Formats: sequence, C-alpha cells, structure tokens
Amino acid sequence: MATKLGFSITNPRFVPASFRKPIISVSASPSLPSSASGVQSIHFNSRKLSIKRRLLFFSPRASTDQQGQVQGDEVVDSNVLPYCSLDKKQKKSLGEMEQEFLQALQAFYYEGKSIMSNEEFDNLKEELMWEGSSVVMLSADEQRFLEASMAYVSGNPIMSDKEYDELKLKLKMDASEIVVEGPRCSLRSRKVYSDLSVDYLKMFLINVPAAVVALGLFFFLDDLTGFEITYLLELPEPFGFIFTWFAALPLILWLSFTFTNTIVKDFLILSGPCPNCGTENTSFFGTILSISSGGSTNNVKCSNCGTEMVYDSSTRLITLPEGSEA
Amino acid sequence: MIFAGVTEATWDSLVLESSSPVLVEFWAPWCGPCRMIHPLKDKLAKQYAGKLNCYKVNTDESPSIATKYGIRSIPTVMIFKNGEKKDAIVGAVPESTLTTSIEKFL
Repeated sequence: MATKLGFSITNPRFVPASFRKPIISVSASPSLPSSASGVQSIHFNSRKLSIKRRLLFFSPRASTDQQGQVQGDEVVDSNVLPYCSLDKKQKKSLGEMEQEFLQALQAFYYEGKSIMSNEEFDNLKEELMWEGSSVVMLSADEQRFLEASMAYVSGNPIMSDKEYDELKLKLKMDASEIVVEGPRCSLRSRKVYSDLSVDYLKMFLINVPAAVVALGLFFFLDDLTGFEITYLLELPEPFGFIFTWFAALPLILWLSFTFTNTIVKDFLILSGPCPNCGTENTSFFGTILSISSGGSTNNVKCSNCGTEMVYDSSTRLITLPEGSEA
Repeated sequence: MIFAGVTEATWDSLVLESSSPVLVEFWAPWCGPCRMIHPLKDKLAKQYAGKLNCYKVNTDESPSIATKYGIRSIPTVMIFKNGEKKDAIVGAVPESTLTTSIEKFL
C-alpha cells in the first residue's frame, strides 16, 4: 500500500491536475492591490504553501483512483514485473517457471540460441530466487544433470547414458539433493535398489573417544609438569588467549584425529533406507586395527524387518542379495 | 475409488486430455517399495481431491506407457499438466518430497 501511495503521488498524470487547481484559486484570491515587493513575496510564499497543502490533500484521492483501477480486470502499472501479476490465470506455477528457466539455459548453452531476452531471463531468475526455488542455486553439475534429464525426455539427449550415470554418481557422492531417489525396483532386472548416503554425524562422532583420550593426556601432562600448562593458559591477555586457541586446542584436535586414524583407516559410514520397510540402517566401511570390514560391500540385516541387504560403497547402492523376495 | 487404474486404452483421454494436473504412479505388484508408498498415495489423493487427478499404471499390464516415458525404475510418480510431463519422482520417497513437487504445479 505504501508503495502504491508513493507511486500515485509521483505519477505524472495526477500531479498536474492537483497543481492546476491551486494555481487558479490562489491567483484569483489576491484582490488587495499592493505595490510593496515584500507583500508580493509573501503572496508568493503563501501560493507555494497552498500548492503543497493541496498536494497533500489530493493525494489520498489519487490513491483511491488508483485502487479503482486495480479492481478492474486489467492492471496497467509499469512497476509490476510480469511474474508478479495478481491474475491467477496468467501466473505460472513455480514448477513451470523452473522448467522454463532450465529450458532457457539449455537452449543457450547447447543449441546456441536464446528463447527469451536477457531482461526476461533476469526477471525469471529474480522471481525464482524470490520464491525460494532451489534451481537457481544449483551447482554447474546439478544444472547440467537437470538439463540432461530434460533433454533425454524431450528426445534429443545431450550426453551418452554412461556420461549421465557417471554424472549422477558424482552428484550422489557430493550429497546433492536433486539426485535423491527412494527405494525402487528396476523394471528390467526386477532388482531392488536403495540409495546410500554418508552419515556425517556418525563420522564425526567416531572421533569422540579419541578426543576424550587426548584431553585426558593433555591434563595428565599438565599434572606431570606441575601445572605448567595451566599457568600458560592463564597468562595475561592476549598471550593466554593465543596459547589456548592456537596451540592447546589444535594440539588436542590433532591428537584425537591421529588416534582415530591409527585405529580406524579410510572409514566411511553409510546409511540408507531399507527397501522393504524404509527404516534407516547404517553400515561401517574401513579397517579397524588393520582388520578390513570386507572390501567395498557389506551385508546388513535390517534392524526393523530383518531383511538381508548388501551395501555397496563404490556405487552407493543398497541391493537385495540374489534369490530373495522384495 | 479415488486411485483409479489407467491402461493404454484410457491413457490419452484420462491423462493427456485432462484439464487439471494429473498425478500418475507407475507400479507393479512384485515391487516391494511400491507397496511401501501405496498408503501415502491414497492419502495425497484425498488431500488434493478436486485439484489433482490421481491414477496408477500397472507396468506389467501396460508396458508401452512405461517405455514411452523412459521409466527405468518403479515406483515412479509423474505429474502431467496440459498433456505435458512436468516432473518425475523416482522411488519410495517421503511424503514431504511428493507434496513439494505437487505444490509446484498446482
């Protein structure tokens, strides 16, 4: 409403109208003949004042005029962007705008022609950002993947199946949200698949025991040296601060990571939904004290329904072993 | 029944020529994950009744539709609007993923 009011005041159509009237009324009013220049200047000032007052007086009416216009079928307003139209029939849904955006990108990069002007494209992009669409925030690989999917459906693929699958796996490894698929069955092989993702929380928590040990060691050293380290920590500012954050803490972190790495090597914790009941199950890959967890595949039993599953860390897929019923 | 089946014979009239957006689920009786999301689909069909037409396609009975739209895995949920395929969601995904995709096209 505030912007509309501001707009109506500055709208050139209304300003002359409100100017005209006061000028006439004021110029008609000075009936007293006066020759003194001082008096005239006062008149001049009062004229200006009345114009201002009239302007303020007229502005509410101007805005009601504006509202009357909006209530009609057509809104003619240069300040309204094409995508902000209030007309429900013309407004495109978010999905359609996303599709249009990708089509424009695809046409530009792969076909070398533009299906919309730069201005239209910028408007569309701005509108998508405003709506909180994830498409405009995608990485280059993600955009390429979406374009490839669309191109495939429309019948003129832009990359081979192998390239497509590689790109998909790469995005999956990067934990991209757009390639997330639920548990599914392949139509051709009738096998059941489910996606695995990295459990970063558990990967972080695996460092906790080592961190506790490192902290214990740190305070043990402190005790051995007759609280020399505590003395360093309590040095006057800024030395105490520097020692705590740039020497003591990095040392403890480094110690805990080293301890973890000597015990477990190349570890990876993957979790994924069971294809039968959807329960998340996690599995550990790596070596614990030089004992390997068994290469790139793990056999996991669902904690909820007891289904046998095979976790593959190289393809990031859960499959059901041969011969089992989905 | 809200969740009616579509076959090759009724595909054009029910899905492509529908005036409102259409949600189609491709499924097969032998697929475990399909069974997992069936109750979810029924719930969505009730929730969006009147705004969205919901159908399901048995890929065993109508394999040509699945081939035509390049479906490699089931369950696949597709959203059609004005006879055009707008979105496809593969796999038994959580309800929130489905509702966000549906909301985009309503």
